[in-house]
Amino acid sequence: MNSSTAALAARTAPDYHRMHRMNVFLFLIALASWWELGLRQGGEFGAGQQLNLAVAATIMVLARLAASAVEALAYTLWWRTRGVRLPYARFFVALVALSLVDRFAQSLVALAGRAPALAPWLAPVAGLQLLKDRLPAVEPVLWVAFGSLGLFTLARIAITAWLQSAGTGRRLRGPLLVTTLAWLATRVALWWAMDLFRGMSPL
Amino acid sequence: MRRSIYTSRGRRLAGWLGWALAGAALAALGWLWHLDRTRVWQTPGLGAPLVLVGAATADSSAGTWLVAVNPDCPHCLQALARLTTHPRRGLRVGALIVDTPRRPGAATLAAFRAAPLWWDARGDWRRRWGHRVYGEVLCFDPRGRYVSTRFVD
Repeated sequence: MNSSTAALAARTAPDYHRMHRMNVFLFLIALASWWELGLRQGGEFGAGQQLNLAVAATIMVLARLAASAVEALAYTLWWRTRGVRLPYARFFVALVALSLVDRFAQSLVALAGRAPALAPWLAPVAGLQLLKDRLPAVEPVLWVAFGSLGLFTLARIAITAWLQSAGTGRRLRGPLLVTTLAWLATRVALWWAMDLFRGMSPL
Repeated sequence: MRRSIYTSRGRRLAGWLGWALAGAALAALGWLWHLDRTRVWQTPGLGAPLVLVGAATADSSAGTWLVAVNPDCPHCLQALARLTTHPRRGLRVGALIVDTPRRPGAATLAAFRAAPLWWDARGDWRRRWGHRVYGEVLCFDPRGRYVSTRFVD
């Protein structure tokens, strides 16, 4: 390690730890946020008793943790295949914290549901799904698969890539390409799977 | 060396094999999707080979709607009940009993409280029409010709 690399490492290590502490804080906020959403949706779907609401909220939190765990595992394994180490636990915590972006996008979608006049303005940010009523010719399955595409989704992809870049020490270009392709592949898989599930039936 | 764990040739090869399998699974899914979407499915129709197991005498001047129902599916029965609760004038609302290989018994038919009741004895709804979602509503015009498929609001 030459002197300039050592100096860089000395400068970035505390930043990395500080970022991790911030992620742990946001992780806890994200869990609370998903718990609250679970409680609210449980109430809307008729789970009237306190115990049922708690179960709905717990399921919501566990589902989010599981999704982030699988996502983190996929990227960790990808980089391991390339011979590069990405610390799993820290990346997982950061992904759960990043889910606050999804949560915020969902809140904007709900807001557009209450005030439909705002939908065209919020669509570029919260997702194209808000234009669904204005574009009836588009297949419903495509809305399910790609409806979340908006600035928030692009930001989430970019931050996920940046987290990998920071965790592996690689330049941003590679992680960005991997993350974008992963997003596209999962969306296309969802589109095809839902089409196979429904056949000629509408959704 | 700790880093060698991540660069051992066997592990990397196994990793690439895993990703290749994932890619192959995606390609297979795409192939299945292509086959399914390009297949020529038959247009749904009333009459043979469907078997009428519960006739209707109601007016059908506005057409006939059939809810695709599996007798073991409570959600399908709820969808049918929602449609029959507020009947539209001239519209007959019945059920198409699907994914039921054996002819439904009298007790099963009585639970529907709708007419007409058609039984898809050969499984055409799934195999020849390509439909797969229970609770959908197949709409036919007054002459029994297929118009569209929709869901209960």
